[in-house]
Amino acid sequence: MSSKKWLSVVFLVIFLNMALVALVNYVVDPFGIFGTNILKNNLQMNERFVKIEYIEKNHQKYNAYLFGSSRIGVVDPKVIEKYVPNSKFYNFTVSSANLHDYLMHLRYFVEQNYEIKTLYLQLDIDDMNNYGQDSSDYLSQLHPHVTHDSLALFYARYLLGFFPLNIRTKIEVNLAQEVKKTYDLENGTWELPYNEKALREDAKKYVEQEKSFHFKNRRVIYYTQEVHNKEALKEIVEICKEEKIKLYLFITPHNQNMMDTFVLEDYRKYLRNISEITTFYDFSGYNSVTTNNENYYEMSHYRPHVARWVAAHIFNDKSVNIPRDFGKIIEKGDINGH
Amino acid sequence: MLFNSYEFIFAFLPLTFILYFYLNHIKVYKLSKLFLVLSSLFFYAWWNVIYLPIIIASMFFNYRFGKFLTRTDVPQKNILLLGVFLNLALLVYFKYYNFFIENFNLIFNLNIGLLNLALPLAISFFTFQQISYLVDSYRRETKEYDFLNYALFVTFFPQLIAGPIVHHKEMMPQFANGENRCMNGRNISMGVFIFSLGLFKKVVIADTFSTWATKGFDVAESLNLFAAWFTSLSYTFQLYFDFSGYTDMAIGVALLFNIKLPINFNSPYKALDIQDFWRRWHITLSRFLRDYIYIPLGGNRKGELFTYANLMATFILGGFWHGAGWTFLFWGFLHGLALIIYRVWEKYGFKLWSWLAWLITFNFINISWVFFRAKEWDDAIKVLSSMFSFENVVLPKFLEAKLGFLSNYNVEFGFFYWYMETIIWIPMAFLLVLLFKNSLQTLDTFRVNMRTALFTGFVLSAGILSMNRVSEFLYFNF
Repeated sequence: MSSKKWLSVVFLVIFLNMALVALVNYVVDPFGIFGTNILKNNLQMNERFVKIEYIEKNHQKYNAYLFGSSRIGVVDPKVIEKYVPNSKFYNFTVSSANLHDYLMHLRYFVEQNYEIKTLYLQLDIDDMNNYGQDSSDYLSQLHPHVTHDSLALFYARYLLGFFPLNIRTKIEVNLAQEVKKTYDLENGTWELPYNEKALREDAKKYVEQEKSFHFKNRRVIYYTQEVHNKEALKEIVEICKEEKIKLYLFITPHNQNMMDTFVLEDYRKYLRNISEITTFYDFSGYNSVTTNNENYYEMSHYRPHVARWVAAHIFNDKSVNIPRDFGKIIEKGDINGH
Repeated sequence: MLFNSYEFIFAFLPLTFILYFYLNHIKVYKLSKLFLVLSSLFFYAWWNVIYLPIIIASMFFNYRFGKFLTRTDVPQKNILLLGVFLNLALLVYFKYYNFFIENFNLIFNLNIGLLNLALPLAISFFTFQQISYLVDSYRRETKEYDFLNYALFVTFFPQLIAGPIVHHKEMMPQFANGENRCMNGRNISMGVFIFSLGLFKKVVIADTFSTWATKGFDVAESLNLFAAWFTSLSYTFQLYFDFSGYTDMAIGVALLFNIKLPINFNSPYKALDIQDFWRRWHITLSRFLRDYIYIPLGGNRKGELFTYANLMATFILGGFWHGAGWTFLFWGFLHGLALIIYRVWEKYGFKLWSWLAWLITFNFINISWVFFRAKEWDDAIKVLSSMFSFENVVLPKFLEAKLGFLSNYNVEFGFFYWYMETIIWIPMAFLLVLLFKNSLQTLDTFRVNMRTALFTGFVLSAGILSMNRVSEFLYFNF
């Protein structure tokens, strides 16, 4: 066999493999990047990309945003609009978000001159050891417009990547009869109708069957991202001041079992650092809401009524019956009494 | 530019290859060499153009010194010492200044400001390469070549960033050889083949292990016994597949240009003793340390005690070459100590079963990598403490039904969070490094036939399709 022929075979095999992978990636669209929509159910998609695409086309419809990880995804924007006159909120929840995402998105919105009057920002305690996303996590890559990278290269990476697990999951989800998660791109929220129904029918049984409530967790989450987190939050607060954006900042009411994963000393330091930068509302810790598993879908995500309690507390809505030990305002620099 | 990037594989490499051979084809040989030097400098500057003047200045300086050293009318030893000193001064300034000042401040309770300079890429590699050129010039082992050839010897992009560390005498004749100016079908096939293996090792294997190694070292405080072992083994395999993958790619790319780079890895994890390991791991660095530090110090010529002292000094310096930190120094010290123990052991003629010799050697290497990888001394201690603490044993939850009685002995049952997949990957990596031929042995028996073409096509496809996790090579940091 001549070397020329040998090379031709090598390149042909590469071309065929890449063409096949690109075709499957385009058709299945496991991260919702190409908008192919042949498989309708987008249980897992790159929300950072999809939502920026949506906002770029629809930003004039909104003048306020909810920023947070997937946990804030159950907050119906109408709940907050009720308290903020003339506001039109968009729930910009993105999965596994941390301060890097909030900062990058806020910078981008300001840079694009999108109208933002209010920012309702949720911080999670597990941000303590997170900042930014791994480049191998294709569900969480920022939109190239936000990072000022090449859009063509971004598409190429999603087209020529090898994602067998994501492809399988998307196909399985679309073959399944039961819709476990729904997504509303118009307001940015997600719902778990199946879980919500099961909880309403028999909350005790649901809690008993949900495995994550019964893990014996260990305190393994340390405050390893202190420098990044502090700098990012400072910049967010400064941008809000400069752009006259009203900032509401609160800490997620983490389920007790999730609280068990945080190293307490580091958790306190995290709160102390936030209080040095700005005023915030703290719903974390062990209280009557976080210790009642019926308020959660699993140990990571709270239910919509908890979101309503959070908002009612922040906006001092006396008409809502909020558990008395749930939430506390921490004025800037005044953490000691907490 | 990374070898494992789209811009390198689909743009830089093909364009450089085609234009270089086109210029040779139309017989403008000087221009083709100049083109290769400029392409290499472009490749280097891709990361950060501010490093470019440093490497260019270093090249001019060393070339002039090399010329001086071959003259007979100047006192050569002083010129050599000055040349080596200035090279080391450059390295110390960029790489070690902060380390010395930090420790100086700590000891004398001072507050001298740090420089916080970005480390110029590949400075350790091109400095060592040029020191060896000066020494070889002093020993009259170099021939007269013009600056263009010398520039190509230093900047030739396949080996510029992370080696192999090459000798002037093994590269210059190849650059000067007229036969190498034409495309060579067999070399191209072998180059593509070995590049494919390297890319696969890097992006499919090493980058997968890097996820677990990084995670494990990030949460060093909270590792249980198994997690700690999976973390250290993940790094052990990540480092090997990363660096040997890089070297394979470098050898492959160089072959496309008809240049043969020296072998750098020869199945190091098959080693049965520590001396054997250093004959198989980063061979060109070991060769440099032997020829330019160990032997000039006296090697084994001055008696037993001096031999041990020379070994220790060589390895501590070798550790320090990898990074400006106490963990690197200690890693070098551990290897120096292991080599001394091995020499004593050998002197008294002790023998071990092969499997036991391998087990001890491999575990020593695995444990010593913990110091090499840890950012701080404390992290290394935390990982090692967990590796040897039976008070912190967590078994997978699904075993609780069968092994529940172990909870009476402090064993917990929980979730194998992020390291679950290592249970499959680590045994596979052992099989690969212990039972299979290494890539260069495979290259020796390479045939241009349909089987190797299909194999290369699939391996290269898998590599390219996994390149979406672009990560730097570990040895770029050194």
